[in-house]
Amino acid sequence: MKAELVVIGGGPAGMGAALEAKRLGLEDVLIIEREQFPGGILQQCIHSGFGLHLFGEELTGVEYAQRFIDQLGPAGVRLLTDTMVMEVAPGLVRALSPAGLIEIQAGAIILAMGCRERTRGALNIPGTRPAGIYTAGTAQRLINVEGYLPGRRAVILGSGDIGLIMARRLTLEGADVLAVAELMPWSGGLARNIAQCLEDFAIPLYLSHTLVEIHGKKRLRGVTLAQVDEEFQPRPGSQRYFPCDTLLLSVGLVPENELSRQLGIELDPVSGGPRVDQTLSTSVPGVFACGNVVHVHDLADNVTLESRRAAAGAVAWLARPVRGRELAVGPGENVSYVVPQRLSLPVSGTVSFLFRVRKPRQEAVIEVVSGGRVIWRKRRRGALPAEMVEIKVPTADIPAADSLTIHCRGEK
Amino acid sequence: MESRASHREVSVAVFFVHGGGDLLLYDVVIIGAGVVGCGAAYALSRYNLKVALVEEGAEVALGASGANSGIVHAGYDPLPGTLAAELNVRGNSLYPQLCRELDVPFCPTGSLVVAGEGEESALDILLARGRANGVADLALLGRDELLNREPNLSPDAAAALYAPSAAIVSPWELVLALAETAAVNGTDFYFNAEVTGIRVGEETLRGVDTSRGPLLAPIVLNAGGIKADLLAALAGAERYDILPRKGEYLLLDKDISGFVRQVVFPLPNPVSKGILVLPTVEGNVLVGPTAQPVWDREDRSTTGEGLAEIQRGARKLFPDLPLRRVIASFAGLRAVCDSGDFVLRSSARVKGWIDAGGIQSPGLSAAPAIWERLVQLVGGLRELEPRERIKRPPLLRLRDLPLAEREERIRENPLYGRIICRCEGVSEGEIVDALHRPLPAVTLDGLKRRTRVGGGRCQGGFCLPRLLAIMSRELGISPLAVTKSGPGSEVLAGLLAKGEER
Amino acid sequence: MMKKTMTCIICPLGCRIEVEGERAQGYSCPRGRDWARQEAAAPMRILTTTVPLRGGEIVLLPVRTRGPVPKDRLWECLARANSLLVEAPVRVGQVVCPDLAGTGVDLIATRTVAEIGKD
Ligand SMILES: Cc1cc2nc3c(=O)[nH]c(=O)nc-3n(C[C@H](O)[C@H](O)[C@H](O)COP(=O)(O)OP(=O)(O)OC[C@H]3O[C@@H](n4cnc5c(N)ncnc54)[C@H](O)[C@@H]3O)c2cc1C
Ligand SMILES: Cc1cc2nc3c(=O)[nH]c(=O)nc-3n(C[C@H](O)[C@H](O)[C@H](O)COP(=O)(O)OP(=O)(O)OC[C@H]3O[C@@H](n4cnc5c(N)ncnc54)[C@H](O)[C@@H]3O)c2cc1C
Ligand code: SF4
Repeated sequence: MKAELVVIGGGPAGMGAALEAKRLGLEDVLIIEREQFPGGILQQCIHSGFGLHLFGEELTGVEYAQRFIDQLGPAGVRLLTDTMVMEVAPGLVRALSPAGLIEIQAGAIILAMGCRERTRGALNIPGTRPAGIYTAGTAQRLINVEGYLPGRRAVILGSGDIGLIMARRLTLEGADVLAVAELMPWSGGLARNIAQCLEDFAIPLYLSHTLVEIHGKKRLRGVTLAQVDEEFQPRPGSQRYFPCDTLLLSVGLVPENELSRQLGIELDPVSGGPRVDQTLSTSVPGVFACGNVVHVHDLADNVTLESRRAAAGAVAWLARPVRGRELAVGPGENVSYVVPQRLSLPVSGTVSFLFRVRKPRQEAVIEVVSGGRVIWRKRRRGALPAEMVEIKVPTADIPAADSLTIHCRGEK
Repeated sequence: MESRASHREVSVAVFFVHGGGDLLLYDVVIIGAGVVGCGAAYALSRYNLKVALVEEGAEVALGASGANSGIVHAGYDPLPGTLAAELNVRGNSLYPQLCRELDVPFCPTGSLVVAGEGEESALDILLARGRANGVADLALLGRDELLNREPNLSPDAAAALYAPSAAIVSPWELVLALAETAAVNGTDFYFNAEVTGIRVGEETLRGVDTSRGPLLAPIVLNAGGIKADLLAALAGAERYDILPRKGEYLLLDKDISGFVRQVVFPLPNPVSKGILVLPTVEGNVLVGPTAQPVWDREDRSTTGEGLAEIQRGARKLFPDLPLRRVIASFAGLRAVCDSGDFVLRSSARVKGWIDAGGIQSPGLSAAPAIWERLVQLVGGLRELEPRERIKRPPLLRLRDLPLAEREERIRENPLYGRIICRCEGVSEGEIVDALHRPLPAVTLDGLKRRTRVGGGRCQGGFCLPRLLAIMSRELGISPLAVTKSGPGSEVLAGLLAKGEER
Repeated sequence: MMKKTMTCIICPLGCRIEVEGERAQGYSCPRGRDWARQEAAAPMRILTTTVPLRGGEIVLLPVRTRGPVPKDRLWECLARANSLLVEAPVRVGQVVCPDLAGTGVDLIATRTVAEIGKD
């Protein structure tokens, strides 16, 4: 089989990239998706909060995905579902499906495999290993897609958006949510989700708390939470036991980069995804990436915008497969990572930089620094670790230097 | 799949026992489906005997045999003259052939005991002990040779004892292979059956009572692991005492495989071999175990202190070990015997009772030699008539095949092309196979251990909903009845309260 | 008049808004201002949930109220939604239950689902 562009993953990133590539005039675009249906993680996001930026209306995740799915056929994007990509090499994709092994010669490749959830193991939580411990996303799928109730009394660890959304979902489906515990002194989720998912249902949020023990041999019987000090160590005497049969872990997402590693793509240890330039080109020529596989987004709208840039990058590269001189972009004060991690020169128009702050700031000043000189600066009302920050820097301001650093200065 | 049918029929037979029908008669009943019990069943399946194996858990290898370091020790550690020393060295020599025969992953990696500056003399003691035990090819290595073998080792390492005959094995796959082979050769397995009483009349064994009904036999072989002493007391046999000692582990991601190439020990301390770092046959890195006395014989929980101790110990040997790549932690209980040695004997007080108790480390290494002993002990009680032993059906390990060969398999069965577990690349076809083997998986943990589905870094988050559907379809049970590790560990609480029809 | 403080749930910015009578402050856009006034007077929410689906490629149909419903009637709306049974095929936006629990707001499908065995 052959395709000008092969897109791996049929979530919003993959569909967005494929549609944009078609719009930009590519003939033959193929999406490979391992699930039965395209849509990615959005198929289980039945809650609203999507599409405000892109469509100007408040959609559910499922609706947001449907808008793209409905365009695939008319646009002439080819879609292979129930097919898992196993190996990628430059120009070659190999996948398995019940129909057998599929080998595709690809002009360019866009990686859009999304992310997966951090698990208990990664947290090193001591205790027993009973049934009843799920990642929040698994529980979301069990409830919203399969129609099962995983448990009746739950504690949720982690106050990221998925944890908050699941607190409300469990409550609406008849379970009791006893607590949402968060290690940091601030929530990892959006303020609106704390309001409409926790406060609306009087679910307590325990900040600066962690899980210290899991109890129960066969099925979970309870968990012990404790308050933590500044070093994140449990404060003696603050332990509290919560009898529950379910523990949901909402403790972070990790870009899904098995295939990228196999390809030898350079990864950013902080974002967890490939190091990309402003066209979303990875370190391997002809291989692009977008969506949660690059870095974890909190808004599907941003995923779509990024996917379009990746498509444009791939289309341009197919027309003229050369790469120019590079300029490194790095995180500075209170910034954990920046995407893109480099710029391929020449650049034109404006360049979007997406990044996350390490600590919340009420008043923030964002600075782009090159060669010790501030080349761009902007004030911003507040910056939270839960929110991805986007700045648009006119390329005229970017000097022909070797590197740029982005800082987020300001008061707590 | 003939044997599977017989396995099922037997379950039905037990049901009739409850209903007051005929009692089941066996030549030998084995208690405990660990490496000792399943190995005994395997060894005895070469003789014309009707054997039953009873296990209180839902699966094989839920005790120490499923939660250990997986090392086939060379044999320099046990004190000369002990049974442990003799059987360890003998067991070690039987392993390569055994694993080939059973198609069980086995890697002859060798092992190193590492000493720091000024501690080298401790190695001489081990070397002398090893030679006294008859361990072949032991050698002392200097610093250069050592760092050559393990480049990531701490620069503080000064010398090491190298034991080329040490190896690693997948203990779980070994026990399963033994059990499946026993099953296809006629051993009946009773799971979720706790032995609650031993029937003895006129100082002679009559059988056992289990939570699923009685099983009658003139010979009972006690391989009850951590509870073997309790069972011996229940039978009225000679007493011994077991003190559980917990060992906790951290399992690291495969993406750092190659960081350590062989089994690396620190110098041993008086209670244990210390915190070691080793590769597993699956390609993960394993770190542990701790050694903590506990009272509860079912306490397999990990602890904050234990996990911290493992990290400290690991850093001492390998300062750069990426401990952030932990994917799971677990613990096992060592059955430490007050005598300090294995207890392998026919009871003088209760005729027909055979003890295989106090089998702590190096129990796994010694296991093939322990079975030899047990067969001798059974042979001392009755005549043994050899017979042909058949092999279990071959295993298909698709992930080890190149993609092109997988294609052929997919043509035979399209389900081999549907990948369920993305981390380990396990297909639906392999899962279905595992649900229909001689000893089929009946729990999610059982599936995970047989196929590695959900055993990778995502630990089952992605595949759980699909596994529930497949198990429900293949086993003909409701998804609500699917358990993690047996009755009481159901994964789901119910259906959502929706619609008239649900 | 009592002063009410609330977190705006209209967009991800999540402004803290104070409302006292007709006066609101802290919002960053007119939508937020209007929402806050409504929230102070009579809070409204969009309900998203699933309903069982018969004959479809999937067993649950995701649905939502077309617009917000009174917050204090959320449970009533949910109970009504939970009693429904929908037949495939369904198109996104299709009304699954008009005038949900007498709120005047329709419950609509948020996903297109084909009949099982058909594309
Ligand atoms: C639980 C949850 C709640 C969220 N809530 C909101 C919200 O309220 N508002 C909002 O705006 N955003 C929300 N988001 C964020 C947004 O949904 C995601 O950022 C977005 O879905 C990411 O899109 P993606 O295409 O990169 O990844 P995904 O949607 O994960 O898609 C990746 C696709 O790739 C496929 N794939 C992976 N590997 C392979 C392979 N080897 N071969 C073939 N196919 C493969 C997967 O099956 C999947 O379909 C939420 C995210 C999650 C996880
Ligand atoms: C942390 C740790 C690390 C180790 N590392 C190594 C190593 O690297 N190399 C090595 O050689 N050895 C090692 N060992 C030792 C080795 O694991 C054991 O010696 C061996 O597994 C013992 O096997 P077993 O069959 O006797 O016991 P087990 O595997 O514990 O099996 C006993 C079985 O009996 C069942 N049972 C108990 N009571 C009843 C009852 N009343 N009714 C029904 N069933 C019952 C239990 O459920 C259990 O399944 C280690 C042990 C531990 C704990
Ligand atoms: S006031 Fe406007 S900007 Fe602020 S959260 Fe509400 S909708 Fe968003």
